[in-house]
Amino acid sequence: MFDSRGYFAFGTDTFLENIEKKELQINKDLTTFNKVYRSDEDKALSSEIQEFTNRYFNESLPSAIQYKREGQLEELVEMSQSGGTQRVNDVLQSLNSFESDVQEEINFIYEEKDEKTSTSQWIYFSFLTFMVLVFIVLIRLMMKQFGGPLKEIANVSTQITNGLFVTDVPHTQRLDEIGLLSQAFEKMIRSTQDNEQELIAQNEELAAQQDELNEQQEKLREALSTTEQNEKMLLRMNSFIHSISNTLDKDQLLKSIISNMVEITYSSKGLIWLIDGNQTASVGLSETEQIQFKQHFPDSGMFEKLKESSLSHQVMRDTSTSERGYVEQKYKSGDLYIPIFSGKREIMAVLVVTRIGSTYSCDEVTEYQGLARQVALSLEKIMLYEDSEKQRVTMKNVMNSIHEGIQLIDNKGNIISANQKFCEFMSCNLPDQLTNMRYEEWTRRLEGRVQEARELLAFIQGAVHEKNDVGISHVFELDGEVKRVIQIYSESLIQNDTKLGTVIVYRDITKEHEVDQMKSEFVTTVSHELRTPLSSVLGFTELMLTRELKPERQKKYLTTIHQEAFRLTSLINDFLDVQKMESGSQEFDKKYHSILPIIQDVIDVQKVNSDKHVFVMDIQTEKLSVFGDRDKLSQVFMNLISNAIKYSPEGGKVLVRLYHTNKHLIINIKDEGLGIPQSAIGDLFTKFYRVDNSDRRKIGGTGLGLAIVKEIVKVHGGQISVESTLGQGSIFTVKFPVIEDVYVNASITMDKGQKADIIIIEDDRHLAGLITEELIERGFQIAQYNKGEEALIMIEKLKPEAIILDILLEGEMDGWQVIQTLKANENTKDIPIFISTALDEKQRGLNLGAAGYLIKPYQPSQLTSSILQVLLNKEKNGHILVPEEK
Amino acid sequence: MARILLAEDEEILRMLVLDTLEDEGYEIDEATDGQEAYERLLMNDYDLVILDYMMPRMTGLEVVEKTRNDLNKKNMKMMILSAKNQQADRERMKEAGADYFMSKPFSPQQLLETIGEILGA
Repeated sequence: MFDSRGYFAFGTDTFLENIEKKELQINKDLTTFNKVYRSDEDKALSSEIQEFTNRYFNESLPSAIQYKREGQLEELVEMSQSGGTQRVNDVLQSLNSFESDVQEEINFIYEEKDEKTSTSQWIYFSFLTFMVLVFIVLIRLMMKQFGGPLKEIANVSTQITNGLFVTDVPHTQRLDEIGLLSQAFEKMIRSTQDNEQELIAQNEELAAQQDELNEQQEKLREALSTTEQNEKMLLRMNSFIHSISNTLDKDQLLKSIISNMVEITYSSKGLIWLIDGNQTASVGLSETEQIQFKQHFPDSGMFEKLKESSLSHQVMRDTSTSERGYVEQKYKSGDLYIPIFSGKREIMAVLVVTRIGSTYSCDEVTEYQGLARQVALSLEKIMLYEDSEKQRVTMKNVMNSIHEGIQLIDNKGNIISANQKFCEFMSCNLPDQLTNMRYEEWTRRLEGRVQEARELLAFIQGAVHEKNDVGISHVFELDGEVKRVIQIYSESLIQNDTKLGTVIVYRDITKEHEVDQMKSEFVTTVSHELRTPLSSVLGFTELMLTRELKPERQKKYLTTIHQEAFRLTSLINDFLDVQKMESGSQEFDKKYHSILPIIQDVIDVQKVNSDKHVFVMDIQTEKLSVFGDRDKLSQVFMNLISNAIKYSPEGGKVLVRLYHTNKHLIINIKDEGLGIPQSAIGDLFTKFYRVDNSDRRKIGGTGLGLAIVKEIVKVHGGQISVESTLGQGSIFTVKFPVIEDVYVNASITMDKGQKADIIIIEDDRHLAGLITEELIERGFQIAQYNKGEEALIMIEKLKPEAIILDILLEGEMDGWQVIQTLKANENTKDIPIFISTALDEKQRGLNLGAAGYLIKPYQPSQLTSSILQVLLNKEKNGHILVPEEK
Repeated sequence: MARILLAEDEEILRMLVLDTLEDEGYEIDEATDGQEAYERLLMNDYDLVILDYMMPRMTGLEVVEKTRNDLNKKNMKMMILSAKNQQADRERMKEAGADYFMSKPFSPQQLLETIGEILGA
């Protein structure tokens, strides 16, 4: 109604939608009402509402809406006023009246219901009270009939529980359930009591068995304890052995032994002292304490006691202050000394452990002695290892120091070991790199460097399979930076009739090979060099003997023979010189000489033989003195200058230049000849070496000259070297130690008034007289003795400036003894001694310290000259006076 | 008279052989080394060639080989006069084509006799 009026008032369609919804709701409510109405009035009201609804929604409302839409508001008002609204109000009034009636009816029903509920509650309570009373009466009856007998039975049960013996159970005579229960209970009691008796008997038996078991268990416990102790000891021992057996280093082993022993013995500190090597290791001890032990223990009685008794020994003592730490009172400590014996029963070490605050029991000491045997085994093992290692290293060093390459191979040819030299042959760095190398590999490496490898491999195969004959060897050339000639031989390594392998030895015979070759060439050379002058000598003498020759030809032939004989002599002298140098018997008569006249003489001789060469001397020094053998020095320059001529066949300048440095007098001999190939320079001073050994060599010679020159220069404290440019010539340089120019000749002037005493020890009175005369003439004062003993006394007194000594003397002493005595005496050792003798033992005299050695017969002036030279030289050092010349 | 070539680098030995042979009327040509000897052989024919073994430029052996092989002088008598007198050396000389060998030192008389035999034959 409100929605329709809203629509008519505002014209909004929403009101129409609400009207439709309400129409549906009214129809739905009417349907529900029709299902529940009960009276005729309800039915009449339903019909009235239905009729009104139909008319309102189907007729009135659509017409009114139509009016509204068409704007016919007057018709709409008229329609409302013509009874439409009244009709609605009537219906609403009927509905309100119906609602009031219904509400009254509901109220009446509620009142009726409350009255009925009150009556029902009262009836229920009365019934409940009655039922409780009935139940109480029944309980009392039950208690009287069953509770008493049950309590009596329960009492019997309690008695039984309390251990009383019950004979009768009440109410067994009853026929009801209590009687049955009593009878059953009585049976149960009888049965229980019987069982109890039996159980008691069994229990007693079990108790006896338990006692027995307890006894056995106690025994087992004891056995277990012993076993556990043994097991612990074994574990400790095992752990100890394990911990000390894992090293091959002695220091580590000693540390390991002592630290494990201290731990196992529950000690506070300890020390082990290895007698061999006086080595210690300790736990809890200072360096000073260890040193103290090492210094004093070997001399202590305890050490001797341990050695003699072979048993451990414990010293019980009060703890020292330092051992007590922060504890004030004293208490006992034990020092246990355990000797360690080797398998040969020799004491090898001593082990000391200290337990601060308690001591070691006998059982413990016994156990620790057992450990000491393990320590001994470990020490022996490591010593054995060290010995074996030392031997191995020694053997390795020996093997490596051998000049031969040595290779040990097994029966398959694989390398077992090799030394350094063999390693060098194989171009490897360390011999260990070759160890275990397979046959194929090392032979392949060797094969690559050998020219005729097939023969070598055949030899090695023969060695491996033991086919090589005894003493057989093979020589091959090994390529490398330097070509080497190797001789190889093999020996089987047999032990207990079993072949373990083969030792193959590689001997480097390069030098020998070269020497052999050189010797062979030398023989050819010598043969050629000797045969050529011999041909001349023999040929010309034969001609002179068999033919009538004119005097000119005879002279010509004789001159030639003489020259060729001289040539032969030179050759032979060269050979002899070489032989003497090699045997060390070459003698050198050394004096101070000016080198200049020696070289000049050589040039004068050489000039005669050569008209193609120009000789030039370039002297840039005044220090020309050399202390040496004149003939040998002459030989040096003869050789060098004749070489300069020989090797410059086209002629040219031969320059001899002399100059000095701080240390050396230097002589260059320079030619403009063929020159020397650089490859030959290194071998130039080698014996028998020739630059060109071919059959077409241009220049003869034995290859000995320069070797001899080098040796002579060396003996004179000098050096020789060469520089050369092929085709341009060579420069040979000789260096001698520079000497201040002390060379004197007979015309030397001596300072006046200076006196020098000379003692002559000589048993040949004639010679002594001659020498005395000569020396007095030169201004010396002379004393003469024929016995060494007398002379020695006077020498001490007179302190002469020089002594002339014969070797064969009257009296007990010979000259050798005299010189030895003088040289051994601090007061006389610096007096120059000139040996004058017929014995050719110059080197011995010079070795003993003689300043000169003259072999009789000699000119007394020669002796005087020698003495003067030596004295003047001494003067240079600020010592000596020179006699006045008369 | 027979014509002989003498090749020897040692002057004194050349003089010895020359004096020995010339006195007997032989005509001698001299060479101071192997190369010079070969050059003379290129231009001349000789009844006999006497060669030292060890000579500069060409050895006696090389002269014999080249003469036999290159100059086609198969019938020319060739003698080697050498200090090399080992069996191996002699065999090499023979292989190269030398007819005779005489070792140094030698007897001039014996040399004359040998040459007489060679040339007489």
